[in-house]
Amino acid sequence: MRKINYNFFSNDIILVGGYFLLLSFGFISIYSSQSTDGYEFFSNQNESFKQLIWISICLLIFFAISILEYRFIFDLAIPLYFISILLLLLVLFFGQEVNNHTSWFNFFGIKFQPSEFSKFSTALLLAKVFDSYTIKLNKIKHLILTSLIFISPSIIILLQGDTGTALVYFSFFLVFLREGLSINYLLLFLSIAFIFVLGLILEIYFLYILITTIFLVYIGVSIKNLKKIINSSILFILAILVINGQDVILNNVLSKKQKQRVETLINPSVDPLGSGWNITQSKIAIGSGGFMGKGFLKGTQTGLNFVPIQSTDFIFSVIGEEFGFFGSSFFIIIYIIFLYRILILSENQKDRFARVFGYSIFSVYIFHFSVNVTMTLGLFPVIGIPLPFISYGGSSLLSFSLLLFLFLKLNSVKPSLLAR
Amino acid sequence: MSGDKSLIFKIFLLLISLIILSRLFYLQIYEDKYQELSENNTVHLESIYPSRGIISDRNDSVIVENKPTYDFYIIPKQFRVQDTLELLRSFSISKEELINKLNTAQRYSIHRPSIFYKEMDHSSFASIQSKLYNFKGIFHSPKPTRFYRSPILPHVLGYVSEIGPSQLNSDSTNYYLQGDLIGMSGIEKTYEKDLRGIKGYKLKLYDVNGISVGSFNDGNDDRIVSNGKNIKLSIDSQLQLYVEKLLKGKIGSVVAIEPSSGQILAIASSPSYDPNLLSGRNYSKNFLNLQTDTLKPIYNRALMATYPPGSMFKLLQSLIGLEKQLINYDDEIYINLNNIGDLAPEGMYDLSKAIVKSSNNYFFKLFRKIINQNKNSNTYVDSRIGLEEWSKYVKMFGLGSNLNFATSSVSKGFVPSPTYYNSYYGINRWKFSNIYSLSIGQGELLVTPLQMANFAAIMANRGYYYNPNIVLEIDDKKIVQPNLIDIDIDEKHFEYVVNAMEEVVNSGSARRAYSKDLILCGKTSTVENPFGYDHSGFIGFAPKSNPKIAIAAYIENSGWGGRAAASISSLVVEKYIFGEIKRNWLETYVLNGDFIDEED
Repeated sequence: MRKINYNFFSNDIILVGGYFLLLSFGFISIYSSQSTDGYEFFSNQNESFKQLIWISICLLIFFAISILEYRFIFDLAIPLYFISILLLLLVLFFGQEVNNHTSWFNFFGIKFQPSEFSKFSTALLLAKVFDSYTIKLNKIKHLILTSLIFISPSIIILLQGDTGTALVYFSFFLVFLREGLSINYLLLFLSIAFIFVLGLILEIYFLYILITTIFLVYIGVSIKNLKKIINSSILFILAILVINGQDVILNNVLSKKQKQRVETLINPSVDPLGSGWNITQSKIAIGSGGFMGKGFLKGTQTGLNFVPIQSTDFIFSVIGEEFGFFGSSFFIIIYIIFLYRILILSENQKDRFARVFGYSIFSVYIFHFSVNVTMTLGLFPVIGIPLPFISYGGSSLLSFSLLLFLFLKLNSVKPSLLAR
Repeated sequence: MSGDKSLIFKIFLLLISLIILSRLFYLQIYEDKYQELSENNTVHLESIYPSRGIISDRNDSVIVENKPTYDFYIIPKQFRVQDTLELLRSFSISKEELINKLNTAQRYSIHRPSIFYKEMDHSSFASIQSKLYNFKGIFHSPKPTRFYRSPILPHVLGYVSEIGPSQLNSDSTNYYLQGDLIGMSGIEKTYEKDLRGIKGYKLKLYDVNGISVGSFNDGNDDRIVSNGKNIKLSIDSQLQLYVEKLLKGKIGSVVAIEPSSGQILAIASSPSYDPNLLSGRNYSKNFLNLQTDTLKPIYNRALMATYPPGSMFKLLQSLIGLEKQLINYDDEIYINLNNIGDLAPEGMYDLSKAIVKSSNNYFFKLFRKIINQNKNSNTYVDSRIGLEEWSKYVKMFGLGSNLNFATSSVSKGFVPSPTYYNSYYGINRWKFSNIYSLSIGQGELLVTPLQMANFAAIMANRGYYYNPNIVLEIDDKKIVQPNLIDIDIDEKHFEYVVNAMEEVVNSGSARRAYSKDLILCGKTSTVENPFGYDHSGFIGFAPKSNPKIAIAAYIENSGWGGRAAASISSLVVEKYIFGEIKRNWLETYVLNGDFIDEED
C-alpha cells in the first residue's frame, strides 16, 4: 500500500492557524505572568522560557507525525492505553507529591504527568473500540463496558487526589451522545446538576415544595398514562434523593477544600483569604481590565502576583486584565472558532475511527475550556484544570497537541486510502 | 434521530460563548468597581507624618514640642521569630497578648501590615533596636507625639490623641486615616489645621507578599510632607508655672491678663494634671482615670466654672450708681444694719468707704436706687425698668458673654434680665425685694473667672477692654488683635473707684495682699456657698498707673476673699512685675496654708 498525497500542512488552515494563534496567546500570557518574578528569561526558573522549550518540542512532534505512516495510530491504540494505565498506577506509588496530588513523575528535574497522556490513549482506545465493534449504546452492557475505558483511568487519577483531571474523563460521555446514547441521559444529568445547584442556593423546604408541586401538576396532566406516571415518580424520588444527598456529598464525599470551593462560588466573602481569594482576585484582575485592558506587561493584579497560580489554572485572568474586553473577546471567539472547526471536521469524517477520535478531542477541549474560563470568571467552582494551549505546563501542552496532531493526521488522509 | 447529530454540540458551543462573553462584558465594562478594587490591591498609600507645630510662650520658650515614638506593624505572612521569649521581653507583652495580636492581624489580612505595638518611646526603642533584626515580619515606623517639657497649661493646650471612629466618619476632607493623631480639645483642637501640617504620602506598588516593588506612576502623584505651623501664645510660661505651683492642693482658678492688649498672661485651673499623661501609649488608661476623678482635673474652671461674683461686684454697682448720678463722690449716708447681713459696722459712709469696708447695706441701698428710680408709679413695673437698665450696664462689662474667646469652649455665665424673673415669678409678680441679693453680687448672677479677670482689666484701663486672647502668632504671622471695646461710663468714675480699690489693699479687706513696693488695686469677694465653706475671690491690677497686669483669682471653699485669693493674686502680680518674690512669708503661707481654720 502506497500512501501519499496527504497534504498534511495545508489540510486545514483554520485548525493549524488557530493552534498557532492560541500557542502565541499562551506564550504571551505566561511571559507576562512571569515578567515581574525577577528571573532571567533564559533560566530554568522562568516558566515562559520553559514553555518555549515545550512549544519547540511540540513543533518537532508536529513534523515527526507529519512524516510518519498513519497506520501506526491504529496499531498503537491498545498498547498505549495499557501503558498509560500502568504509568498511572506507578505514579500512585512512586510519584512525587505536588499540591497534594501524587500525579507527577520526576525524571532528572523534568516533571511528567501521566494523567495528561492517558487522555490521549483513552481517546485512541475509544476510537478503536467504536470502529472495531458494533457498539449499541442503548444496551446497558455495551454502555457500561465502553464507559469503563475512561472510568478506569479516572478512578486511578481520583486516587492520586487530582479531582479536576479525574472529572475531565467524564467529558468522553459527550462522544457517547454523538454515537447513539439517548439524549435523555444528558437531560437527566443536567436536571440532577440543576437541582443540586438549586439546593445550594434555595432553602431546602422551598425546594421540596417546588418539586412536589411540579410533580403533582405533571401527574394531574398525564393521569391516564401509566408509563408517564411511573417515569415521573422515579424522577421525583431521584430529585428528593439528590436534595437529601447534597449535604452528604458536601460533607462526606468532597474534601473540605472542595466543599469550600463550591460554597465560595455562591458567596466568595465566606472565606476571602482562602478559596474565595482566588475567585475574588481573578475577578478583580479581569474586571479591572476594562474595555481595552491595561496593556501587555502592564497588568497590576497578575503582574504583582495577586492572582494565584496565574500561569496555569488562572492564565485567562492575565489575558482579561492586560487585553481587556476587546482582547479577551477576541481570544474567546478564536477559541470557539477553533473548537467549532474541530466539531465540523469530526462530523464530516467518513470513517468512524476518525469521527470518534475527533469528537473525543472536541469533548476534552471544550470541557477544559468551559470549566477553566468560567472558573476564572467566578461562575464555576475552582477546579484545577488547565486551559489547553494557554496554561503553562509541558505535559498538558504535549498531550493536547498530540491529540490535535493525530486528528490532523487522520483528517489529512483521504477516506479512500483508509483501507486496512 | 434528527439529521445533524452535531447540533446539540453546536448549541452548547453557542451557549458557552454567550455565557462567557456576557460575563466578560459584565465584569469588564458594566461593573466599574473592579478598577478601584484593583488599585486598592496593589497601590498602598504610605503616610509620612509631619511634625506637629510647636507651641511656645510670649518669650519664645517652648511649651509643647514633639518627641519621636515608634509604631510597630506586623505582617502575619512574613512573621517568623526564632526566640519568642526575646520578642515577648522586648515588647514586654505576655504570650497571650502576642497570640491575640497575631490573631487580630491575621483576621485583617495575612499580607498587609496591622498595628502591633503603638508609640514606643525613644529610649525603649533604642534598647531593642539591635534585636529587631531577629523579628521577621515586624516593621516599625516613626511617629512624632506630643511632649511637654514642663507640664503646664494642660487645660488650655488640650491634648492630641488618635482619631475616633465618629470623627473619622465626619471628616469630609478625607484627610485623616485610622490611627492618625488629632487635636481633641483646647488649642490643639481649635488650631488643628494649623498645627497638624499636611501629611505627605508616597504611593507604592506592592505585590501580594507585601513586598514593595517601586513607586506608583514614578512618584508623580506623591505628596510632599509639610510640617505643622508653630504657635506663639501670650502666656508667660514662668508666670504660668508659678500660678500652678501656688494653686497646688487647692480647688480654683487664676486668670491674669495684660490690660493694654487683652492678652492672657496666665490661666490656670486646679486640680490639674500632667499633659504628658495624655500623650503616648497610656492615653486611654490615663484619660479614664482623669475623667473619673471626683475632683474633675480635666475640667477647666477658669473658663467653664461659674460663680456668683460676690463683693467684687460692688465695684460695678458703684460705677452704675455714679454714671446714673444716683450718688456723688462726696455724698455721705447713714447706714444701719437692718436690711442685709453685714460685717461692716454701722455709721456714716461715702461710696469710697463703702467699697473699702465692703458694706453690704450700703450697696443694698444703692442697688435699690438703681432698680427703683420712680419712672413708673407701679413698683413692679418700675423694678422691671430699673433691672432692664441695670442688666444693660452689666453686660457692657462682658458679663453674660463668651467674650469671643475662640480657643476653647467657655461658659457665658448669667446676667439675670426681667425676662428671667418674669418667667420665674410671673409678670408684675416681682420687685426689688425679690432680687436684692444682686446688690452684693449674690443671687442669680453668675460669672466665670475669665470674665472677672476681664473686669479687672476694665478697671485697670479705666473703662475699656480688649477681648481676652491667647494666640499671638501662627508661624511668625501676627494674629489680628481684637478691637477695643469701650464702656459707656465716664472715665473719672473709674478713677474714683480705682482709688477706693487701692485703699482696699492698703487698709481694707485685702490687706494681706499689700506690698510696699507695689501699688496693687483690688477687691475681695467672699462668696456665700450653700454647700460648704465660702468661696474666696479677688480681682485686682497693678501698678495703679499704667497697669501691667490684671488678675482674677477664685479659690473654692477657702473662706474669706482676703485670704487665699488675695494672697495668691498678690504673689502672682509681684512675680510678674518684679520677676521674683520678696514676701517669702506670704508665699509659704499660700503654699502651706489651710485658709479655712485660720482666724483672721
